[in-house]
Amino acid sequence: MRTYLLRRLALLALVLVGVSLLTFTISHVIPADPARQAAGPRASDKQVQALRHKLGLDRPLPEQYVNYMAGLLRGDFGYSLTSRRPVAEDLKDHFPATIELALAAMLLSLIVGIPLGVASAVYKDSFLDHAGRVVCIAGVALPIFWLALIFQLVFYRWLNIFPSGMRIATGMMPPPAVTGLYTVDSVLARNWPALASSLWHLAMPAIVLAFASLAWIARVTRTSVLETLGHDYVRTARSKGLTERSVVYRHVLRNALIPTVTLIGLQVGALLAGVFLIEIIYSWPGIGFYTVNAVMALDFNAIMSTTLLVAVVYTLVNLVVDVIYVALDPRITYT
Amino acid sequence: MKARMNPHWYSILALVVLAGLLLTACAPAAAPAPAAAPATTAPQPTTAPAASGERQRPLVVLMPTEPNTLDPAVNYDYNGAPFLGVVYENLVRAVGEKDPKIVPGLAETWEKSADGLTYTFKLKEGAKFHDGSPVNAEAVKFTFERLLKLNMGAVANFSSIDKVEAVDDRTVRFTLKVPFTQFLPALTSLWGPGIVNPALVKAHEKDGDLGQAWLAENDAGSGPYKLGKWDRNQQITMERDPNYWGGWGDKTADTIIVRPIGESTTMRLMMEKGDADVAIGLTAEDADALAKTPGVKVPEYMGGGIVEMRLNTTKKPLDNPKVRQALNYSFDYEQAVQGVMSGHARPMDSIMASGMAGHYKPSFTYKKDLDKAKQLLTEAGYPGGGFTLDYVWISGLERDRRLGEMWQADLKKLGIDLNIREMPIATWWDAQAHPETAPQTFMGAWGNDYADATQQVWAMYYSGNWPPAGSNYYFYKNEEVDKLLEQARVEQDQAKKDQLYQEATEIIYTEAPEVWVMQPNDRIALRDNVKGYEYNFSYSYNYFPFEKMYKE
Repeated sequence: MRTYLLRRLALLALVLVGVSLLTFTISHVIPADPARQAAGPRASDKQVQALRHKLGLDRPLPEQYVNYMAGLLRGDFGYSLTSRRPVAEDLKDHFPATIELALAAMLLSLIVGIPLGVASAVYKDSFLDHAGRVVCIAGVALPIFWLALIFQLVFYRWLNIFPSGMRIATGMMPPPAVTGLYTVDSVLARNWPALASSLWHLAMPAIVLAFASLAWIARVTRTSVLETLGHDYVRTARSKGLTERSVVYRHVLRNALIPTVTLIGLQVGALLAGVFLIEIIYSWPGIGFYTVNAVMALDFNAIMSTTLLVAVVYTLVNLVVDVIYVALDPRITYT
Repeated sequence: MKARMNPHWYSILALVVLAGLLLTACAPAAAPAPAAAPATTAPQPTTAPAASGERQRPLVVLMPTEPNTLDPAVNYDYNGAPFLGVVYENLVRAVGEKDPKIVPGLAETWEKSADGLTYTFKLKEGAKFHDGSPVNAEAVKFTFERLLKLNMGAVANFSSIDKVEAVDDRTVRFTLKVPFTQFLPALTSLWGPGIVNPALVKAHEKDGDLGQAWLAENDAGSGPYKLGKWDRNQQITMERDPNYWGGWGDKTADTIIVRPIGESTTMRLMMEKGDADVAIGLTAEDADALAKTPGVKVPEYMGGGIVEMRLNTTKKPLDNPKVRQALNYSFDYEQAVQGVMSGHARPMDSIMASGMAGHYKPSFTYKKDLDKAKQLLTEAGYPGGGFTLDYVWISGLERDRRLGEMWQADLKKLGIDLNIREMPIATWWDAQAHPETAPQTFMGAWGNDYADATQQVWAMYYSGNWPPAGSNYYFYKNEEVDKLLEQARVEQDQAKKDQLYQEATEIIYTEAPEVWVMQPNDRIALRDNVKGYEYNFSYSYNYFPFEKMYKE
């Protein structure tokens, strides 16, 4: 197991080099001058030159890449052309917002998706199953940006249930930053109004973001549980006289969840992609919002850093998923 | 067969979980507004002080993007205006909805020497920075020396400065290298000349950056508002300075919150619901919708910016002035204003925007006249057209795509094909920087840094101002025009200056390095209970006189 983990981590390093090389090359071959972008449209040639030099953009491309990677190893993400400060500080400001949103969405899709899938399978062809399938098909088929706009119109504009945009009510001070997740920080500070407000602001973006993942998780869980229910050992378990509850929980669910866990790993990727659309529509100040602005302004260091960050998160989550397999199915071993 | 688990068990569980989730999520919605939650025993205040009278409600302003820095010497974008306008003060400012006038700011009086080379300002007595230290001549000297040394942002508008001297505590003297006649108007600009507190800036200097890193997110100003907090990509909070040296009226807004909202639709919804009080940068559709919404008004003002179709005069066949004139006669100005802009703009009558000083009118005006265009094309050696033109619009500027499509139809009648292409802004900046790579025709917009139309004339038609350094996007060069502009810039006699600009205007308009499309209106959405707003032509709708604004 340890060798396996070490090998996977080494592979992670390789993936990062690949991703960084790709992102670096693509963002640098675009026929545009980031120094001019950063200096402003009416900056003089001299100002642009000075900035280009300061940012090291006048060096050969391979040298720029090596410098960037060397900085990264020291924990230096470089200097943002748009915010005019170290990218690390920008990430510190923006990443927790995204984590909070993605975690909430993931939690929602698990809490709703798995029971929904199990229930649909156990009561196959019942009303619950049909209703669940409609929800699933809708979740998989509806584009997230459309859903986000419709939710905004219905739940913000018409029904007035949720607020739109931002992480906390206007005029309310965010809780002192510990984790950067407003909900967690509010609890730590025992600041209940802030907790209520941040949950209230989190709800709509999280629900919309969770919708697609929830649908996939429910679908896969349903299929998998149905398949497992047909296995011989389930029949044996039943004939042993076990209660249905214990059959489903102890024998079926554990085996049936393996595809779901795989899917969760993949869904993290989908969630991170969805975050970019959701954050723009709901003005959620996370890395999606930040990266879209960075791409528009050709802010190399910001683009590189967020891309790498997303790659790291995605790869790590999938590594964790592989480890969870072992816990779920003792037959799986890694060497 | 054994009885299955109670069939309702899972449904009930699922329902309970769902209901629980929804309840937790919705719970606060039941209470009126979380901001008004009762005071808690939490260690630090969680809310702005509870409403107690008119002064306590924050004024929420929405705009599409936030500034990248709050340093007045570095910021050079419209997004900085709401902040720079009220946190910093200039020696002089410009006011007025139209034909702006220069009025005292931190300076009480000023004097210009006869040769136009020295300007002496007498500072107002009692002017103070937010920390209580006096705004004196040394602070003015420090501000401008810092601006020139940093060499960033709008420094080009102040490059004529040779030296700044503090004559005495309240008198400061500027000596110019050339008698630049726009020096005083340039001092009214929001970008660059805001006076900073030298002690604060020096205290936060790091590695010789002249306090740039610190000032990017802190304030060292003397204006009526001070920076509360900047949560990046969330909000800039500005707090009223109760000790503001200039004094306060009866009704004011204690807190101003400026929020970047990327989606125009979201801005519109927030305005409709009253979650925001002011919004700018809305799409035409959203502004129209808000204008019909009860509780919201969308006043409209003549803006000082222009929209133009730039022609690359170095590329065939656009190197021929007759072809360029033909293009000016082929454009449907009326349709652009009425059709594309739904009337929220005005056609132009000259090479520069009207409504401010420095506006000169040529002896004729281009109107759509396809016969005349055909005749000019024939004279130029292109009877029946027979060529293709590239047309580039910047991604996201839907208006410019529509203008291109409209023009394309008319050009077809002249036998000219318009090849419409979209380009992301980052790529565009690079493309337009050189005559070889600049497209044949491309849409652009211009707004002055201060209210004097001749700033634009110099920046855009003087041959020394070709991109990338300058804004002569047409790569236009006419030695006679160059000579006239060089003289006019430093001519102290108003009558002579007028004549020089008049002559230059006539030549440029006739030679047509561009198609002058229109002067769009500025539209701003305000909730009905927002009082005290005044549009400022000089600073466009990005600036707000917050010290006069309040909610009723």
